[in-house]
Amino acid sequence: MRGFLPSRLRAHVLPALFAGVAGLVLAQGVPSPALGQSLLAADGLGLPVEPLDARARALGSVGVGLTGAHLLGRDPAAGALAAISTAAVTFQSSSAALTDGAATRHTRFPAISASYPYAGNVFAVYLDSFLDQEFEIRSEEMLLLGGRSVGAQHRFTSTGSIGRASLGWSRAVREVFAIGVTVGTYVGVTERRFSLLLDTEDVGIGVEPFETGSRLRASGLVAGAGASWNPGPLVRVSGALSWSDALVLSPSTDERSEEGVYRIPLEFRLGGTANLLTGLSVHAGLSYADWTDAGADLRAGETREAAWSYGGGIEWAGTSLFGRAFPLRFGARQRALPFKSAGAEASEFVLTGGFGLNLVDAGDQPLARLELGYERGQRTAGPIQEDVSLLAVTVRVASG
Amino acid sequence: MSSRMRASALLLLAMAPACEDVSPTVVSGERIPIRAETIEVRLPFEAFASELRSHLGFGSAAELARPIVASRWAEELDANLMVRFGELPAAISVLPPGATSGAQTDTDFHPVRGEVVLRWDTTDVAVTSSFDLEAGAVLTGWDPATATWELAADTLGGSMSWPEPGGGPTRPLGTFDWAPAVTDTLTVPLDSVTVAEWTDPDRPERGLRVRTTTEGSLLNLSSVVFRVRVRSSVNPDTVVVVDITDGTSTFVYTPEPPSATGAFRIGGVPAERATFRVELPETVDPGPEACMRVECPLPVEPDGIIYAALVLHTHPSPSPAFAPRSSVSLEMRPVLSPARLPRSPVAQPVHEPLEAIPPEYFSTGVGSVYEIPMTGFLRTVGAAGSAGEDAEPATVALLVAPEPQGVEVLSFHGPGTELAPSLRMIMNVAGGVVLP
Repeated sequence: MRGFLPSRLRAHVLPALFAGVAGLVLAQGVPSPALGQSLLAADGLGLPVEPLDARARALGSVGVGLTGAHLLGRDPAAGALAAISTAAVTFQSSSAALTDGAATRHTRFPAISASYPYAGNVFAVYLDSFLDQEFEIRSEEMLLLGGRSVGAQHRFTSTGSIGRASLGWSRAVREVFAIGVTVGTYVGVTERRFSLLLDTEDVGIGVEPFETGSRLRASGLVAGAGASWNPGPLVRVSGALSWSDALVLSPSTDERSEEGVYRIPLEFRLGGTANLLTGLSVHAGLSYADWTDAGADLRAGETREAAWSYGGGIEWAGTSLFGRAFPLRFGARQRALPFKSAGAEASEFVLTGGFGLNLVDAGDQPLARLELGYERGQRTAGPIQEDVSLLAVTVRVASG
Repeated sequence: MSSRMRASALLLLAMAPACEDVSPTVVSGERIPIRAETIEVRLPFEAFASELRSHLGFGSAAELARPIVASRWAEELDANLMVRFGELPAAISVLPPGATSGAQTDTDFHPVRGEVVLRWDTTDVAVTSSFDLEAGAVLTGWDPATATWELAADTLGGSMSWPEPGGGPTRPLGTFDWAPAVTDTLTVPLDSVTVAEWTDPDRPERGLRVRTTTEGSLLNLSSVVFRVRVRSSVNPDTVVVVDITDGTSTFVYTPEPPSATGAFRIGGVPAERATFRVELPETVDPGPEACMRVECPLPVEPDGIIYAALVLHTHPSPSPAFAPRSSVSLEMRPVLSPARLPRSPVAQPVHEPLEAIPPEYFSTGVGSVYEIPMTGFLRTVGAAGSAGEDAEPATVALLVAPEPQGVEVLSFHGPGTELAPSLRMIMNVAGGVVLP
């Protein structure tokens, strides 16, 4: 990297960037592969995770139609604007206050993306999360064994997550129009374990726990296609669709477990951004997917048919901090979660906000940026009501 | 790094929350996506075990920390204390005449007299009044490790009987009226001849016998010291007291503990063990109520066994003289080489230390239930059986701990009786973890 970067960047910006990122990582804990921050992760295939970076979260975006050079896995055409090699990492730490007052916290596996332009094409790689499957279910009951009441603790835990790893290609076909595609596969392993422990006071010493479980490895092809169009100098519109072959969960340790095959719906996303004034832009987007087929494949639980998500926000880029551009963002997003919880439809509404720190830009190409997005809101599903918050930090560096 | 950049980093650092992963937890049995049935099964002895055998001869009375003296205890038990003392030290240190320092080593000292100091356990005496005790010097060559009431020695080289059963005859050293309410110590004075005999390692008969003539009595010895007074060759006017605390204390007793019909025994001295083979059946019948919930006959999956215990019913002691007088601990240990029984080594217990069996379990009346957990062991046996059809059935031994513990014998109802040993097994039946 040293040979490609301006001396000013090497001398001042990278050390500051490094210090900031290191501080954030230390403050949030080392990113753990454990995911999940909701009781709703126990329903269906888990809690869908939007593959957004900090800027998109701060703007209430559904992940398409943002301006500027950036990389987002669900907006294949967005990479076409990256004229220089770019790498971005998004750390996400979430927490929730559950219905019963309990609190959960998790640091998600970071979303990673990188691009490399060559001969007018931009090649990219994406690694992000798709479904949270981390939860725990406990119950205590009294069993009647041999005429005696025996206390029993049942515990079911699910750990891990399902993600997507994709390769992307994008290209600006004309000055105002770009296209892109991605192809990849589901990745990740989830472990589901059940244990039972009897009360030694009721039975006697020598009680061993009963445990059974299985590790499920995710596989299946995924692909996406998208296009972006700038109908005018102040407007940008993008559309994308995500296709998935069946999501296959294969047991890797328990031969008795069968293989799970789930149809994942085609997902449509549409979004756009308009500059209203100098430095002020407004963004909006929506997404749609029909999860009916996936619901039919579930062993237990059900899905809603149409899952709509929409959101938007405003970005004010007229401020600065320490001599650097310091855009402020606010927004909101409503998301229909596909998997019902005990028959009740689940949804999420969050208010969003955040800022960016454009450490070094070269024209319209960001060389070093730090973005922060924060969400706070509620998830509801019948009697379940969770207060949720999420902090996302994106570090992006680029070099020519 | 510029101050502005540092400030930026610190600002972001302050905004980032310190996080520790905590999983969301649902407390609801209905949400657990797996059906598990927990069932208790009782297997008769013949369904899981075979070849119950008793083996006698582990340890000897010489290994007990508290040998006994008894006379017609419970109208039956006689026991005589036998002690062989260790040797005198090779040298003593003595100050020369008139000196106050500079002790010299003296290897040419001579015993002049001595005494034996016996300390009894006054908290565990069978009568509260006084005891008549007789002390005598053994006159027959004997072996402390193998001596019994009838035999002075029973070694590989052959056995030799006492001229008089019970360690006799002896040369009287005195009779004593010892009252535990007054003192816990009995001192037996010894003349120079006896001291010389007992400190001569070449004399196979050397030793002390103590018996009581107070019928219905039983005493436990706490400690014994052979106190020898020796005259120094360095300073002939000085008598040095040498305490010999090493040696071997044992006891011989009669009669042998009786057996009860239909019962097997554990304990005593030398100790008796019970061994049997364990083999898990492939299926069990959990009963009609359980069969409404699970497949019957129910396959026995080793991993599904969450509790297993050998259930024993105590048998009233056939003789009060050999009934436990205090709580006794039992152990179940795998036999490492069943083909070499009874001398096969045994492994560590298959369970955590158990609660000792109280003595009242063996009093007259209906026997009490005592469980010995063996979950992990049974899982291992089952897993070995699943791995290969030719797997050798495991053999376990039941023994008292520590072994031997005393003349007390534990009796349990044996196979073929109404209260035969059985296996209590709690099993969990569940399929693999279900998919979403």
